[in-house]
Amino acid sequence: MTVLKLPTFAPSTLTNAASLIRILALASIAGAAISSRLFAVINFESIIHEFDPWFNYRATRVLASQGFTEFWNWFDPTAWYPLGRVVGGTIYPGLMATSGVIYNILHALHLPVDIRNVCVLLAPGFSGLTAWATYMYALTKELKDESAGLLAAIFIGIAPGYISRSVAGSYDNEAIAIFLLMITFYIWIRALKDGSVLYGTLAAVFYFYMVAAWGGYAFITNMIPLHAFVLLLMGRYSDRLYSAYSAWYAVGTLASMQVPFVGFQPVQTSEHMAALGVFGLLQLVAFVQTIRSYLASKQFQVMLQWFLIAAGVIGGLAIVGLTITKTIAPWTGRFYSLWDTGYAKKYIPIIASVSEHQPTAWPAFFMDLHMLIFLFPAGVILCFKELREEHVFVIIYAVMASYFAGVMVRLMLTLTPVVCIAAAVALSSLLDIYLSVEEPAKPDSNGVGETAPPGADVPADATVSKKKKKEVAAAAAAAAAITPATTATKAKTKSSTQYGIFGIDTRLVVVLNAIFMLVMFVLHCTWVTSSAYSSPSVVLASRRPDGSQNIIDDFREAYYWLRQNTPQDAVVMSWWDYGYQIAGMADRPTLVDNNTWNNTHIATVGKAMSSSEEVSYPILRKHDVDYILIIFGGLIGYSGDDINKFLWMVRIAQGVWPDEIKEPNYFTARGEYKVDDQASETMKNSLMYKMSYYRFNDLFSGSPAFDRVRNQQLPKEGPKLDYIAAEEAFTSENWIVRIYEVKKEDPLGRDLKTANAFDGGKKRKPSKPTSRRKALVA
Amino acid sequence: MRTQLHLLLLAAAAAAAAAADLWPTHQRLAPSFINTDVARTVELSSQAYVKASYSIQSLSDVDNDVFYLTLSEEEEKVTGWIEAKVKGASGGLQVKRLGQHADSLVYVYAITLPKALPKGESLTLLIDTIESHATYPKPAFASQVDNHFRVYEADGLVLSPYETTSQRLRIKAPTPNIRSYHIPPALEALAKDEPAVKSGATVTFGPFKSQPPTATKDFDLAPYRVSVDFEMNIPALTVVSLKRTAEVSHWGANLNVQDEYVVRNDAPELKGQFSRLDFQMSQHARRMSPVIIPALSLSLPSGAHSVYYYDIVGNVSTSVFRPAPKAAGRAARLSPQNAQLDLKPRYPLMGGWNYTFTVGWDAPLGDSERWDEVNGRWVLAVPFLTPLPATPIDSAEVKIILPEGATDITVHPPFDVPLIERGHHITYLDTIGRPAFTFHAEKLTERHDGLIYITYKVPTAAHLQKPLAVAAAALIVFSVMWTLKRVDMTIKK
Repeated sequence: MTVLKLPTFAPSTLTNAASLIRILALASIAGAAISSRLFAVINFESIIHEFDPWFNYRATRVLASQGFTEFWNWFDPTAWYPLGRVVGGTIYPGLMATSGVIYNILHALHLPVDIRNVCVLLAPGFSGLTAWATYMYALTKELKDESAGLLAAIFIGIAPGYISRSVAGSYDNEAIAIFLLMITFYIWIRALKDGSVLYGTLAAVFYFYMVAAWGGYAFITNMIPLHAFVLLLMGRYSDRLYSAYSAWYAVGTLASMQVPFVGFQPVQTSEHMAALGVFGLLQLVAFVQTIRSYLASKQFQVMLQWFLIAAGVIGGLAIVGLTITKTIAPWTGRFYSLWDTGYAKKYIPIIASVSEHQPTAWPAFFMDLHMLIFLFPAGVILCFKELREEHVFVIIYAVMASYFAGVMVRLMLTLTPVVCIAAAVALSSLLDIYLSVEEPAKPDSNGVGETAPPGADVPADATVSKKKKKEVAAAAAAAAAITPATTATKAKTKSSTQYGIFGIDTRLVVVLNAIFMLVMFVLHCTWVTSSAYSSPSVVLASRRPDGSQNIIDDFREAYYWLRQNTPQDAVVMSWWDYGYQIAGMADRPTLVDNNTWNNTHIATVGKAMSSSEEVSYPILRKHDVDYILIIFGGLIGYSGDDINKFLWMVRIAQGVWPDEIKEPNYFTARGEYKVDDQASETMKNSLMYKMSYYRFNDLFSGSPAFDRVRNQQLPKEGPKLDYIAAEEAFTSENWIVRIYEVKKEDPLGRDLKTANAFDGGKKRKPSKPTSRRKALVA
Repeated sequence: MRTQLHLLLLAAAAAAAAAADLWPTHQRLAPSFINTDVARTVELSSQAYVKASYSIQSLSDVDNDVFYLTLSEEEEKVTGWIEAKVKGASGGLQVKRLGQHADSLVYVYAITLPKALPKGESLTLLIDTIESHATYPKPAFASQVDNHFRVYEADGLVLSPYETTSQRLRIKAPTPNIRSYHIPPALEALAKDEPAVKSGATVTFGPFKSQPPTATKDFDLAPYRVSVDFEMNIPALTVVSLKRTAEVSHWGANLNVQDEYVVRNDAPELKGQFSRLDFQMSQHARRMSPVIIPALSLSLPSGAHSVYYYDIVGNVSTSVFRPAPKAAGRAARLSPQNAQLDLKPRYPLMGGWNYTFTVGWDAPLGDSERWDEVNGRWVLAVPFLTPLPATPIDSAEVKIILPEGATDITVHPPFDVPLIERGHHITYLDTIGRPAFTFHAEKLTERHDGLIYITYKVPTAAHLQKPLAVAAAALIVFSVMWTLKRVDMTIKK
């Protein structure tokens, strides 16, 4: 029985139409995914965002203009002055290589696209590919069916959790990494299901690409072994698993070692040991399986026991031994911080000082995933219903990624794909049931409840493919599982209860509800994307009183000033956040940048910023610093400024010089962090404080100065800076960026304080000689 | 002025221009005229505008139709633009640079008179020159709020191959605030009465007594240099280099022009630091030093649209483009108003500061190209540059890109361009590339904004080249996909 009479078509027409619609749907999903990421380009311009992308962009320009060999051997003397940085060996080159290849192909086709536009649009372009890969992943053979695949593709296409890392201009490793993650997982599942060495190798190739592109490759390195291990524990060892895993591991590991930055890590560090261990285990199990086929079961039992014990003991001892002898590197700090969220704050303040390394707040889940977050568990539960190998994978992935997303904000990114897939499975199951025109026979029609065997007695249904029917049946079962409570109560009242959905109104209610949720989801995604994730952060936008957009462009103003009006080799000191931007936009050497590899160097900058001028000056001169750049938001209320980051500078400096820099000294007596009258003397004397508020008072012509970020009134007397270390060289329009020039030593050999006083026409105070004598006595 | 150059002759012409730099020694500058009165007036602004009137009398009857203007080494270095006309007549005279005289080392320009001047007859020539970078700041450094002073130096006597009966030099400063002026004793001695008089913003040197020809080997001008030290209240912007690219598209009926500027504020270099506070306060009080350049104003052709302005780090978001008002009627069509681009650099340009930016726009091709029915050719006219008022341009490179497949090309630059290169340029979906001409010139002024005329033919086949190439490529891709889809590559078990 059916609720609706559907028109009938020839099977070939249906297949063709379905395939056409599928292609169109995928194309429009890719289009939606790409265009929803273009808010930043439309609202602002085609510009590289934030911090790390500026380095990637700069590296890509080197690659595009000088070729791959030069790029590979690139030593950048301007970064980490005076140390320099071996760039080729300290980056994941996958992103730059991808852009470089695209750039060269376009130019070979006589499409002279600017390298900047290639970089800006790379992330949206790859998000389209991600949607396709997700679709492939969630396909019939692998997980459920094509409709689930399309839904998953739509979800991943516009889910804010992924958009946050892939808007146009956000030219970072994650931009291509999520695509690689999905395609590697997809091919791994294919390899596993077919037991195909070819697909295993292909998975290894994409794994290599992933290793070359993102440090997060460790997620794959551990997910696939974990999957294999769980399958082993479930007693699902098969030759398919053996060949797929062995092919992936052997080829993938060798390939990943070709990336200079990774080098021998795959055989030396703890993070990679799980993959090696599972590889060994699989060999053992395969060996045991082979032997079993030759031995009687009794003998086999005995042999197996001894064999397993011996292998376990030897393997365990080997790993412990190697760890003790330091052949295998111990877990890194970043890894520990995944288990103990307080770890980084205590031991590695640099990691903790990065905002994206903070634990995730609860609202972030809803913000980034909206309705997917509550469809997600349903989808995971549905995976338990079938529990084929790919379902096991999704379940493991869901568990692991949920945990990591809770620990670190940025790992929300790895959670998003699995949430999309699970939610798509759940939603498509729901829709399958409620969109099906099948209706069970009414129990009172012939007394005995009999579910109409699908297709058996309905000739009109001949058009529906066999597969489809099977799914409908499965979905109906799933639906029954979703609403066990209601059906259970019904079952009690009637002995011959009939499961199923009757009538068109019930269907409409559910389907309309689902559509409503989907619409809300789209609206939410668009809103979040446009308002929260599409700001380049290099350019800030505000609204004028009349509602028009006002662009605050202080960063570029100051960087461009540096680029145009300072000597090419002038060294700029700033907090490490701005290192990449200075290198990219101002093209000047920097002391520290966002590649935070040298803690001491960063601590040196922290010390120079947080000490008094007398202490800072020798540090500045020793590092040839010509200009100091600071960010100050006090005038227009830009909260991400250096005074707000100041405590991290203090903490990091304290980590290296605990005797000289002490965090408590920067708080008031009552333990508050203040910049007003009550601020501690250490705070007021620090170079950062002085540079931030230098001549800030004068702007308020008499009335007390007011810091709009911290909502505090500043002391009446502004800090005096023109003594020792530096003098103002440039301040941007809204005072966000302030640049100070470090004074050179006095040519007459006087100390700068005396020289300055002399220039100012001040008489030597008569008290000076006495104080000197005192100092001598002391 | 406008020389017609055929393609084949281009290289030869360039070579000739280089060779013409040395004026052959054997050619004597015959004293065929006498300067009865020379009055030079120098208007000092960001550049020095020299307006000279030469009253000349002919001494010879034989084809006396070329007047030689000579410039000293210093003058030659700064002079960017020379034009001459007969007083009272309309239309300019041809001025041809002959190069340096090997004997007297002066630079010689030949001015061709409308007709030969018979012996004894006189004529008044008006010769206007523009001197760039002819002044220098004194002191070389100044703070943000200081007044700025510059010094202008000039030859007190006019350099001429002819005898000069009477002459005088007037220098007009932008303000009456002239700190000092200097006249050397040697020149003072030549004065008819008062050697130098200052009245208001003008200093007058002379008139001076009769002089024999000065453009000779033995005469040394150095002891006759005069100078004026004056207050400067006009910004002194310099375009260090300008790169213009104009690309013609027949399919899009579009002319895209893109200018890459490198500019510098030539005011005295900023002493010490830039204080935003002082700058903002002086801005509020409207007492900003006039030599600070907070914004530039470029006037673009009336049809300009899709204007973009960026520098190395992205859009110059501080700037505003104001399209030309859409006026109707014949009057508007005859004298269309220009569109305006108020380009505000990211930071105010203080003395000595640099800035670079790129401005580009699209304009309807019909505004600058006509179909010449008679000869069956396209005639394209592109201005050599967009003048920034009173701004010298130290070097310029103008590249004009013609449509793909353009043949039979002739090029007519507006003035003698030292170097013209033929190149080729490949852009979106081109197969063989487009012919491109690059004009290199130096020492330009706002008067060098004449039109470059280029005529060419485009065969119909060349028009169709691009769509056919794209269609063919698409066809190949589709057929390959079609074939691959239908080939079964699985190994049958």
